[in-house]
Amino acid sequence: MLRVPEIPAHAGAPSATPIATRISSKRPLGAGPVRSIRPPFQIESPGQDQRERKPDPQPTTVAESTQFGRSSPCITGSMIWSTAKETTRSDQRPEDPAAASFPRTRRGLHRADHTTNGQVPCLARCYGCARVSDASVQRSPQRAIPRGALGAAAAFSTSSSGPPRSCPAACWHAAPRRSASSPSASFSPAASSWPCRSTADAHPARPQGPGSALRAWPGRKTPCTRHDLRSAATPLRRNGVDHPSTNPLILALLAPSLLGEPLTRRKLIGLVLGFSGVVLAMHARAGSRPRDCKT
Amino acid sequence: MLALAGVIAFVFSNIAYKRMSERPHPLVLNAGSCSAPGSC
Repeated sequence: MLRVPEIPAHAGAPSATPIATRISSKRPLGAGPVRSIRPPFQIESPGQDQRERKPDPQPTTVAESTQFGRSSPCITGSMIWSTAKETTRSDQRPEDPAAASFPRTRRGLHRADHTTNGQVPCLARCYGCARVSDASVQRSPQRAIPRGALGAAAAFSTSSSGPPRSCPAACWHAAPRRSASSPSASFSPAASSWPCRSTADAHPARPQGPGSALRAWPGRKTPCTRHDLRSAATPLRRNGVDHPSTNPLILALLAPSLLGEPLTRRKLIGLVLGFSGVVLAMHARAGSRPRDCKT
Repeated sequence: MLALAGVIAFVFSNIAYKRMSERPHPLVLNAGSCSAPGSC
């Protein structure tokens, strides 16, 4: 007797766990453009619970297919803004250890770069950090600058962001040298309380006699640049009398008495012509001289 | 004061040169003048 083999009941039915096989490596025609989307960016911290993690964005449409099946076809919202929302949310729960991993967002850096010294600690507090760890945005809090020469020296030694526009600094250098030893900028923007008010304060080591031209005259700030100070130091200097070109003129004036050389008419005419040339040259130079500290 | 002192020294150095009994070559005087700061 022929025995018919038993046929299982699930024979012919689709398998409950179908095997994902790739039928064809070619994309069907008319499938549309290929969208390659990065997997969602996720910041993890050691103490973060799995339940508190930001859920992965879910696709809103299924009509599109990706080239690789791992990524969702469409991410709801922007990854940058979702991260920024998390940053804002960390303000409400500063004890969250995961908040310390958020200050490196683009938004946070952008804000911190354009804030003053007083706002940086606030941002650090918003981020839940003790301080802003990034060196490019780290600024020490505003300090009280001592007055006098010590204050000027301290301000110039710690300044790495250049002089202020109004140039309240009254010193010999046109611009303070950048100090490589102080990467953090702690320049004080308080120009009204700038300690360097006079040359005597800024440079006490310079000779400050009664007739010294290095003293600051009333009603004007101390000269900013070396050129300004040198050109406006003395009235003789401003008139160009001490120019090396005046040396032959002075010598010709002194020659009759000291050398016994008479000053003839011909020599006098030459002397006047030479002096007029010196005056013209110094007048042209005086036009290009900086007259004010403000640059 | 420093500039005025420099000018006076410059002038009187020329006078001293011309009053020397045995003058060196004038090139020495020009070289000394040019070596002065700010002269050349």
